Amino acid sequence: MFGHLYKYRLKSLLRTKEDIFWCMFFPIILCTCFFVAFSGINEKTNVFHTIPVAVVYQQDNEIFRTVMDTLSQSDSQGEAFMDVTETDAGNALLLLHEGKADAVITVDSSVSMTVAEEGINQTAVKNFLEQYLQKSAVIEDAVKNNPERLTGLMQNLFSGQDYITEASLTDSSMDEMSSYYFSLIAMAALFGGFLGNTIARQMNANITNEGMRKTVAPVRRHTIIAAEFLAAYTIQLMSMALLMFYILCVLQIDMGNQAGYIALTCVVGSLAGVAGGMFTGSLPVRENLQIAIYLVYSLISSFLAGLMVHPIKIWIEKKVPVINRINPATLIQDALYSLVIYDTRERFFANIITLAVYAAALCTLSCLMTRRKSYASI
Amino acid sequence: MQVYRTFFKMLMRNIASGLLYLGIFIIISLTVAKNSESNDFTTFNNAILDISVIDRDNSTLSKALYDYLDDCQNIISIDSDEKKWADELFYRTVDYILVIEEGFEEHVRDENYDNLLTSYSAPDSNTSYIAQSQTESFVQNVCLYLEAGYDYEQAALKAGEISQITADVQISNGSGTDAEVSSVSYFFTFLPYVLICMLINSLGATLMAWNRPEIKARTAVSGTGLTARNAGIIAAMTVYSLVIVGIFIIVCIFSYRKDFFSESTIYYGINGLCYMFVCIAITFLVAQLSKRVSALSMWSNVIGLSTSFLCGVFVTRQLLPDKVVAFSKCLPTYWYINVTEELKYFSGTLSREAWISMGVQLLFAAAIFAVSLVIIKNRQQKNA
Repeated sequence: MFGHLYKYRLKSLLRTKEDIFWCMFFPIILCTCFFVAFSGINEKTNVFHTIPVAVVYQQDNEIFRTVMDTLSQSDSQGEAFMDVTETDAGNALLLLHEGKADAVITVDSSVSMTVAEEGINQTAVKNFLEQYLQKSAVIEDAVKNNPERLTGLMQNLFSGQDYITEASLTDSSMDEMSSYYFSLIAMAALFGGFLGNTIARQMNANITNEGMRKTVAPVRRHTIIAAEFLAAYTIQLMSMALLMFYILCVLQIDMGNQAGYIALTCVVGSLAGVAGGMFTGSLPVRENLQIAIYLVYSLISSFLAGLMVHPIKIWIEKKVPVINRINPATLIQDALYSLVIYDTRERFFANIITLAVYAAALCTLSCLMTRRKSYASI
Repeated sequence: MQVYRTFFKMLMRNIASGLLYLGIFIIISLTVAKNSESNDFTTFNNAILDISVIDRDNSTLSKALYDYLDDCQNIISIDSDEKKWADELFYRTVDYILVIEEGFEEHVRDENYDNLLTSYSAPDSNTSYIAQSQTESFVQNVCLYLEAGYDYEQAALKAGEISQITADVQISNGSGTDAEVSSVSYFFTFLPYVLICMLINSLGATLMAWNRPEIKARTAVSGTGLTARNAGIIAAMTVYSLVIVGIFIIVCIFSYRKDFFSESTIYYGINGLCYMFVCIAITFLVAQLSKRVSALSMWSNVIGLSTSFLCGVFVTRQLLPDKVVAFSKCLPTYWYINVTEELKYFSGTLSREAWISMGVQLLFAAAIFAVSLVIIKNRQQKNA
């Protein structure tokens, strides 16, 4: 009987177009939108590119010219700091306004710069000029007060001594946009709740016709509940598998080489999603209200995990950290995030265990609310 | 007129769900507009970075370095637990973390430059370079003064003094892109997503009722022709949409009172009206293609999200890949955003290109209407 119920519930759920759209296709559509919109952001905002600069020599300055030549040469990573164009004042301003130069450096008795707008490249050029002026001041001071020390000072200046050790906290590329994909996977897992909601609703005799039929059927209640839950969970797992295949194989989003742990997150996350939907579907309220409650719950949960505004998770962590410890979407998002960022698995398993407890609690409550219901004889 | 009045009567029956959508979308648009305002990816306000400095030395030199960085950048405090630093860097709440190691001052004095300072930043971050080079420069200046024969205290003092030397920077406003962006622009940039979802969900249900066979049959046998029927429906849709746009404008006035009353707002309004006709046309088409009311929310999300992401509603166009921007020219939302992008830096007159963009939107609306009418006509002929 269990197999029969499971098979037909599976068929029936696959024919509910709305639920299948929200569980299976909507996350893929949203994921495609993210990919299209975010694929260029990291490249355009975070990755360093050579800064185009126009230089106008109103007075010859050999030292400055030598420094500029050095900065125009490619470093070990093949990227020069500046791409220098020597030109006259009029042409330099034209280049600036056409966007072909980020700054115009004018060399006369001192050095100054002209920019069209504020920006990170302009700040970098300004910072370079300030360092040049400061070093010039140190040398002038030495020439004036301690000329005998000038050779040692120049050696020190060009020694290329590094004073800072650059350390890394993770091997990850730290692409902040990947957090949107983690939140999206969390949302997709919770959207499995629409299936849970449908099966629970269709077991309530006071809400749906299907519920009436099932209530009078000569089948044990817990057999129906188990078969229906398993059918919904199977479809949700299929949806998650499709989504993960799309993210990892089609869009080729880097989520680290942790396929087993990612799969575990999807399995537990989907369980939490279907259980949440089943719980709201068991509430003694009207059909539309049940759907609305679950929709609001899943969207708010995803919002708090950073689906719309990604730094919200860290704001919450600073102000009300308890929300991050209990919000199911944040738990799924954080489990995936911790896989990419951290070498240890403590944080990952803390999230997974909390999710599993949450899912088990909701499943138990839903079963208690659904079984042994009696209706007044009218 | 009969069709027009009936359409409104039907709309009023569904007004509760319409109001629910209106409330939800007003909240969404205000939240997202507010977030875009505070998180504009393309502008770096004075390019001041958020950095954190952990001073484990607490010496005169480490304090001088701290004060120098405090003058240049925005120092924010973070949790001393190193495990949480990765979160701060990942979410870009901190661009750069500098740890002044214990014994920093002593090591500088002894010219032992190992293990002086440790820095952390997101890989490939071009913002952290600035703070890194400022720190390097300050420490090098101290070392240079020590090399030049100054004693330790004087070297630290001198390094502090020359750090005040700044480059002369002039702003040339030829490009005109340095003007402050009004907050109204963020609200209107987000309007396409809201309007399309709102109209498909609220108007679509009423429109679909007109496609029911019994209502179609009744209209067909009445004295009202197909053209008059469609004209009545479109007129009712236009009036309803105008009310919706009007409500959004009232919300905008209350939310952005300071920036609202300007010449550019008139152009934002005209552009919004052009896009409204596009949305009406799309809603009209979707209602012809949908068989069930529940399909409307799918249509609205698919059309709303895809056009918004592709055309620069959610993510500014400058950050989209070039191929995506080229493709988006085939969509009406691209032409809407063309105008809002120009109005962001409005200088008093609207360019010819902006007017053409509004015209293109109206052409899109006309084309989509034409397709819908062809579908209606074909169905009618098939059923005849």
